[in-house]
Amino acid sequence: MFSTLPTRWWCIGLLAAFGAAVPASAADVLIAHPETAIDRIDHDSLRALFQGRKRALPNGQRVDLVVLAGGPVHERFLADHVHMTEAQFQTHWKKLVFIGQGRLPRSVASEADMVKLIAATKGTVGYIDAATPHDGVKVLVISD
Amino acid sequence: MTRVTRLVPLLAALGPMAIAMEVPTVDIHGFASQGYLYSTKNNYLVMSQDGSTEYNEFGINFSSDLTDDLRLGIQIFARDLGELGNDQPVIDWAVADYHYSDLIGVRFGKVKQPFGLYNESRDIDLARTSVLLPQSVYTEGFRDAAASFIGIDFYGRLPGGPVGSVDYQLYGGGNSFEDNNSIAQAFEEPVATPPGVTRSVVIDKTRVKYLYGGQIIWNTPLDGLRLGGSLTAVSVHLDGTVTLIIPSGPPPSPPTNIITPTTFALPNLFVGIASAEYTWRDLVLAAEYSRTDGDIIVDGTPVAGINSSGWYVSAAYRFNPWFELGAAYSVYASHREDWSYTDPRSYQEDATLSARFDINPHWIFKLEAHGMRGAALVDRSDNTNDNGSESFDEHWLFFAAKTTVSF
Repeated sequence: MFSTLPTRWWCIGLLAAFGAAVPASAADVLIAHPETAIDRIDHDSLRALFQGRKRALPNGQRVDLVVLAGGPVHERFLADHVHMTEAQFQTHWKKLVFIGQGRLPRSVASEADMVKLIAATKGTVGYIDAATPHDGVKVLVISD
Repeated sequence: MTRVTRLVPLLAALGPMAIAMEVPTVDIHGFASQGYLYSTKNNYLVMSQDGSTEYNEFGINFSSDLTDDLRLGIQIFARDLGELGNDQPVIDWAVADYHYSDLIGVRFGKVKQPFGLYNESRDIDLARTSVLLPQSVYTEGFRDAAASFIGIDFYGRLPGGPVGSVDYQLYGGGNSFEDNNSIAQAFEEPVATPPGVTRSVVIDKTRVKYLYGGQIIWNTPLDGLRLGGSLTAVSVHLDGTVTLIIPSGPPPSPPTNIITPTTFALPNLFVGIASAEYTWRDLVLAAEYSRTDGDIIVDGTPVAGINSSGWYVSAAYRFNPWFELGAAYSVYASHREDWSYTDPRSYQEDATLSARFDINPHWIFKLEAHGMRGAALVDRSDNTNDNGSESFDEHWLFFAAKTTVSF
């Protein structure tokens, strides 16, 4: 029965099923202060940074992390690059704070605030959706 | 997640001199937990058969990055667990942390002790799903010797490329406690005496003479899988008095009291733990095995050996932002060669079901039920009959509820 449906109806059905679940832009970019000396970072180092197991970029430059307070971009970045859920991320960092081995990343309410803070603060690293305007910051390429 | 408190505005308000200084910011965080424990039989950790609220923890910490490489911090901590702690504040950790590079850093001061996956965070209720960590590995009876030490801790992360990375810690130091601690409590437990004779022990001073060890955690290429191993050597010495009360004749003759200063020691205790943890999305699986070896020395004479072991498997799954379920099965044997289960005082099995509710980012609530078999980790002093003899039940249930707020 289904095979008799016109192809365009299949396409509309697929879009209806999955289109709403996938954001218009499903890519995040890692941004840093413009004076950051490196242009790229490998995936493992990025994950270790946001898990608090590293404090420096691969060139040795110390960084301060900036995270979004919540929302789909935050959750997507954590899932794709830190391999943690929001709950795991919160719990993990609180644990580091209460055993004296970490300092909570700075938290900002919006991507615009993220761009503004990172543009103005040396040594900071954060993330935004690729479609968000990001004048004044440096985009770091994430490599495997 | 918010950065809580910044003292810079206060200092800046002091005037131009303060403004001209490079003043580091200070972060302040804290937590408070209150629990309730109840058991159907056997008093466990507290006088639990009556239900007890003598179970809480409080902590507040202050930390600051003095430079890019150097961080200072201190946490004041108080807890109550039955007769232990009694909410007396102590320094939980006070650390200067010099992070030379990701390959090597050093912490010194009073440092949380790394062994197993969860020992460093054993007092942090919000860090886990369950109320109690599996007692087969994280025994409350050894908590005071295991929580932290005064000394030095080298740490770092060794990149391994395609084979993952290794986080390591190497540490050494010592510690001392006031009389009210969990190790002293173990030695103050009553032991069998001849009829009519009463023996009591009071510990005045407990010292961890030395403690050293290491831990490695291999972050494997399989995403989410961590494998680890920890080894610790500890030397514990306790000074106290033993009082024997012996009948000197038929009543009304007064009994004879013999009071003897006594030194107890666990001079060569070795604790090893093998650990595995796998995280896949909202699911966390963990398993650990520990074994402890050593001797008990009284006034220079060996009186007993320690050769215990424990292991557990656990799983936790977060269903949504506010609800998480956990389950664990944990087994402890005080003599690891004897798995005959003939003496309930030599083993303890614990099947646990835990529920955690995150009411908001700063407030959690937990409920937990334990099905128990055996009583190896149950204190004798809390489980005696009116005639002074010990009394244990093999099968029993244990329940816990706990709430924690943090900022």
